[in-house]
Amino acid sequence: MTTTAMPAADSLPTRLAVQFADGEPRAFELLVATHYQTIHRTVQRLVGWSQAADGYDADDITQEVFARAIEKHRQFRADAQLPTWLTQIAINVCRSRARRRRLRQLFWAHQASEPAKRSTSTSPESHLETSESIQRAVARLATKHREAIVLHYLEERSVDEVATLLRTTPAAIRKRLARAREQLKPWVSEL
Amino acid sequence: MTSNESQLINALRCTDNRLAAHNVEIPTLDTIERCVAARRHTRQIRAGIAVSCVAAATLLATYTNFSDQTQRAGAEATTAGAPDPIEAAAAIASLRESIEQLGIAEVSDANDSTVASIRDRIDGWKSRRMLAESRDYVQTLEAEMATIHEPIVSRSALAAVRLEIAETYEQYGETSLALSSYRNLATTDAESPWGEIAADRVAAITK
Repeated sequence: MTTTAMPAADSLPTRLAVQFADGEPRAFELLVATHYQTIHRTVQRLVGWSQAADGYDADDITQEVFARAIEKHRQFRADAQLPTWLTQIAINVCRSRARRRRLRQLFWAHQASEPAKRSTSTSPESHLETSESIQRAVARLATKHREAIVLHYLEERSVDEVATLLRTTPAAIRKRLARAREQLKPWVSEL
Repeated sequence: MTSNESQLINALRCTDNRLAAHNVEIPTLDTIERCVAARRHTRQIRAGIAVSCVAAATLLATYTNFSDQTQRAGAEATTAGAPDPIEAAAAIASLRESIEQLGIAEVSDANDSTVASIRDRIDGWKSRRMLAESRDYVQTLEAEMATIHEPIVSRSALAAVRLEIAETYEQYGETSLALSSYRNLATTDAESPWGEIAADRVAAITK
């Protein structure tokens, strides 16, 4: 599966990608130093800026992203983009965390008053802080809608790029964006 | 771009700037490599532990007629799905205690062989989890799980575990096994989140 053919351009990112695919320890170090902060930010956005107390810990998730990347370096194609590949791993790890969180909530349904409280307290009128309203609204979006919003509007990726990252079609992404916008509308109209 | 859309983008960016952690501590490579080693070890035992806990939950369900304990057992089985072997081992111990408290001995009058089988399983779980290193073991567990009585209350937990097993196959590079596990799950639990994820994985693998 690994492709280690040297790409034409011998830029630093390209060399890093080739060395990483070859499993060079120095490349692992560089990978962490170069991309950790960017991926950390992406992770924060993907979990709706939630906190560790909400079952998400961006530090922990980001560390897992890099652990997975190093573990699976042989699956990385050296002619691919490392940031894109890392973002895909980040999406998968965030999805996996969200799934476990949902499962826990399912079985603790009798104690799950927290989500109910949240949903009743998130009417646009009840928040003075706009960003707090937006945060809660984004956190409450379905995972696939939040992913589309984060990658398109915050990470500034094109619809085509988002479609590639989420392994779906541009039309599906447009639909998800429209749906997410619709759900966020009440909060935006309050601005 | 509509004015609503640009309002939304502005609001999102303001929120992002306000809430983003600005001083991120970058871990050392050594820390991440230790994390890689721990993940490898954890993954090897996770599937086994999670299945065992679900088995315990279903056994409890059988003997308690879907009582509160069943729900607790299900929750603990869920906990066992977490990537922490210590947490999972604690969940197993707790399940074992619950089963004992339910007085399985009383049931033995009715069906000695069933109880012996249950006790064997319970005693075996802790040691067997250490053996969960090969794909054969995962396969055995999956086959065993298929024979377990499935009360409705545990269905979600079973679906989640099946998904984990399929993911374990995929991580081990057992694409064919992963694909058939995902397909089964996508068919039997099409309406659940786990079934949807499984369907997505089938689409991604066969793309």
